[in-house]
This record gives sequence, structure tokens and C-alpha cells, in this order.
Amino acid sequence: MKSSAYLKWLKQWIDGSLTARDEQQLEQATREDAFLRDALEGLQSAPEEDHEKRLARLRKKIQQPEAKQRRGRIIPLALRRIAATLLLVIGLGTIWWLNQTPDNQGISMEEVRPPTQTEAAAEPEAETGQQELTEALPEPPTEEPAAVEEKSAPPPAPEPTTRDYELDEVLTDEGIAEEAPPAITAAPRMVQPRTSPALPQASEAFPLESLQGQIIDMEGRPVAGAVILNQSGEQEAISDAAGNFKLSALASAPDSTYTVQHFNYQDTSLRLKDSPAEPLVVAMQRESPSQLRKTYKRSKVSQPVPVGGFDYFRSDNQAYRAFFTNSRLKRNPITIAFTVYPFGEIGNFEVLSLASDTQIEQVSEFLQNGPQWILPSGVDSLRTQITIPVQE
Amino acid sequence: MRFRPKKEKSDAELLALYLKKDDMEVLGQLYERYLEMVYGLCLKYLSSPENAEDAAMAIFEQLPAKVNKQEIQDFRPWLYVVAKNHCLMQLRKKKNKQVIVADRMQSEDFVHPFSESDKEKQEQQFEKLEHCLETLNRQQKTCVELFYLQERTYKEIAEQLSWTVGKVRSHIQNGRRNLKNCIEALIAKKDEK
Repeated sequence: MKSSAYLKWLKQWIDGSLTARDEQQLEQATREDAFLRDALEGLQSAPEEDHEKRLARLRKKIQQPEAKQRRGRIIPLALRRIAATLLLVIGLGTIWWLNQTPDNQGISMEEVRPPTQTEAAAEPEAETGQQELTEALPEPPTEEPAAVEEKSAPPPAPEPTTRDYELDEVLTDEGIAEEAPPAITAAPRMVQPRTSPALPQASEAFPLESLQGQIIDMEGRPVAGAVILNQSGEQEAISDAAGNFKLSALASAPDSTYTVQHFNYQDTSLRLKDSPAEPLVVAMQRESPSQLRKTYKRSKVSQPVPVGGFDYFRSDNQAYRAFFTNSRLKRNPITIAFTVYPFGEIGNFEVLSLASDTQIEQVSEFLQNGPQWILPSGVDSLRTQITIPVQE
Repeated sequence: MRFRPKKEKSDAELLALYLKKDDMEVLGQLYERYLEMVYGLCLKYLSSPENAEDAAMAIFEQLPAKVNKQEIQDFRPWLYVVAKNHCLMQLRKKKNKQVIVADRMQSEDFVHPFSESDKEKQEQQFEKLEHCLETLNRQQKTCVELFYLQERTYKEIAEQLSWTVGKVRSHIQNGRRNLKNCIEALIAKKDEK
């Protein structure tokens, strides 16, 4: 029995094009084929069902394997967020390290540090180049103590800068510099961020080429949770509870435009010609009520993943109570969802239940001036959902 | 073969191609061949079309892991085992919900109206059949007549009577079961005499 034949009958049974003759052959085939028998029995157990529709749906799903992946997206999304955060932190750390390099590398870098920006790129090469140099070129006697010192490298003894020039000259004269680069590759760069305490410090200060600023509304109140996006729409920074934000890596794109976004405010663009020395203040205009409504409706479609955490937040209920229980006006609970970031900053929030414009405003105020949001330890960011009683 | 054009690859070829390329589309193509079978099988064990649909999808989703782990000689019997195991596992999961898998297949001694038995016997069968047809309700009778005697397809009957294919299928199935019971009763009566 060719399998394609009974498969055809089975399909005919399903789509209704089966004749009595086919049926007989099909049933004959089931006698020697347990799989087929089970299949037909199953189908016959529900003769009235529209199996064709179900099978068509299955077929569609099978032909699009991506659809399958979409089902399990909830966790990957969280993972991706963590991954993105990590990447950002590492990226910032690297940038910080690159900026820090001159002060942070210790004496070895100090010694070889070339005077100009262009030569700075060759720093690591110079470092290893110098090590080879110590073995290959013992001729200049002034060089030797420095080289030995550099190798053992414990005491912080900055060398006079004149030395650097000598070293550089020797390097280029001997032509070792040309041989050295291939051997170095990226090794020093790869290792450095790990050994240097980049991660904790990255979030503390951006000494160079970064920009600090504050986002306020038209009444001068800080806007928390505003997202600063770069030209390609990637998130660069988020304003904290005091509206402060820090932009890093401005050096790579000195003349760039950023967009500042917040749920309750109109998008504001931020153009930087060069990094100003003083903190920048960005004022945002409140979104008009009709716009708010629109955003609210849109955001209702995207369903956030309800994550634990509300109990934790509510345990900080002193502020919560202060905020909500001192008025006798009628209050109506509405549910909101938002993400909390490491320093208590919160991202855009979504209103998940029906809410009036005044309620949305209250929610926004609550999120900005309400309790201090604290993340549980070991969590990078947390999407949470809470229900709060706000005045109607 | 008429139903399988020359170009179509065999199961083994498709399987080898999948293992080589790791292309879900190829595996889907292979699975689709037996989709009806798997779906029917699941329907038998899980008793609800919804569950059967879900199970058929779940089995497909688990397929890559299983295919990569095992050496498969022949895909079809292998798939049968895999699918059956999946359904049995599902049943075991909801143990407290007692599920009885009923064997709904007609007993083998029932002679199909078109079975190639000797003519005399067939004629006897036919007489009984005609008698028993009258005992069926109108809908079942119409459907059985149209299907077995006029050799219409389910679809054609459904169009003619403006019913759904499912309804027609159901009437034919029930009509046939009643016919069978009726004929068996007749035979039993005859034997008594």
C-alpha cells in the first residue's frame, strides 16, 4: 500500500470529497495500519467537526516557524531587556575606559603615552612594542631602568615626558613598530575593561565627552522617566526622579540630534552642536489631553507582562498613603504598568484601565512625586503593574 | 504514482535534507504529510478537536529536538510512536480526569456495501440492507443512499441538501451503525430460526 493513496483518502474524508468506494479502500487499509486506524477512528469520533479548518490553521502555523517563536516571547523579552542593559553598561564601561585610559593605565601607559591625539590610538602597540624593545634594544642605557620598572611596575613613579619622545623615536627608528602591531591585535583592549573597575564607575560619572542635564516641565518641575533617544531611535538615557540624565559618548557624534520622549509630554528634540560645559535643561511641553487619550488607547493594546513586585512597592506604603488617603473625594482605582530602572527612575507608563485625563495626570504625578521606587536586589529593571486609587 | 509527482522527495530524503540544513521548512514539509494522521490520532486519544489541534502543533514543535537525538529508520512509524506517546503523556497529566479511550471502529465482520464477497452473499446482504434502510430516520436514510448507492461524495451530498459536510458525515456514520445493528439483528433472528 502506497502511503500517498490512503493519505489522499484521509484528506478526502476530511474535505468531504470521499466516495463510498474510497471509504471502503480506506477502511481496508486501516486493517493493516495501526497509525491510519487510529487516525480514522479519531476523525470518526467527531464527524461533525470542521477538521478542515483546524488542519488548515495547523498547516499555516507549521509553514511559518516564526509564529511558533512568537509564543514564547515573554521570557526572551525580559532577557533581552537585561541583555540590552548589560550591553549598555559594558558599552558605557568601555567608553569610560577609553576615556579614562590615560590616567588609569598606570605608569606603563604614562611612560609611553604619545603627546598627540592621533598617536593615542597606537597606545597599546607602543606598550607591547616597548616590551620587545627592552629585550631587543639594550643600547640606549637611559632606557633600561625605565623598562625594568615598567615590567615589574609596582611603584607609581611618573617618568618625565621627555622620555616618551625618546622611546617613540627609538621605536620608529628601529622599525619594530611595524612588526609589533599584528602580534598585539585587540588583546589589551579586551582585557582592560575586565580588570579595570569599569562597571561601578561607569554610572557614577562621565568625566569627559558626556553631558549632564535635567528635564523639566513648563512649570519647572522635574520630569522623571523621560527617555532620550538617539538618531537611530536607540535609548541613550532615562531621566531619574529628579529629572536628571546623563548622556555619554558624545565624542563619537558631536553634532547629533536626540529626541526626548515621555508619555505625558510632547516629544522634544535636543540638538547638540558640541558638549556644553554646563548641565543642559530641557523643558517639555505637556501633551494635550486629546493626545494623551490617543496614547492611552494605543498603549492599552500592548499588554504588559504582569511581573511580581507590586507587594514590594506597596510595602513602602507611607508615601502611598500620604498620597492617596488625605482627600475625601471619590476615588476610583486604575491600573498602570511601568518599568523601574536601577536608580528608581521609571520609564513611560501605560494605563491599563479606563481613565479620565485628570486621572492620568494624577498617575503621572504619583509616579514622579510618589514613593521612591526601589528595585529588589539583583534585578536590572522591573516591569510592574499596580492599581492605585485616583480621583475621578 | 499519481498522487506523488516524480519530483517529490521521499520521507527519508526530506529527513536527511532537514538534518543537513536544519531548515524548519523542510521538517514542516515532512510533517505536513502526516498532519491529518497525527491530528486524527490525537483526536482519538484526547477526544476533543481543540486538544487534538494543540497536540498536533506541540508534537511538531518538539520534533526538532527528537529528530536530532534519534536515528530514524522510517519516519512514518517513528512519528506514530512519537505522536502516540505525546497523547498518552497528555492523558497521564490529567489523570484525575478519567479519560476512556473508546474504540469506535466498526467490528471487522461488518461487511462494507462494496466489499468483494461472493455475489450470493452480497445479494443477501443487499436484501437486508434494503430492509434496514427503511428503519433509518429520514436524514440518515437520505445520506446513506446518496453516499453508498449513488456514490456521491460527502461534499456533493452536503451541497444538495445544503447541510455542512460534518452533518452529512455524521448522518452517514450513524446511519451505517444503525444499519449494521439492524443487519446483525436480522442475521441473529435468522440463525434462531
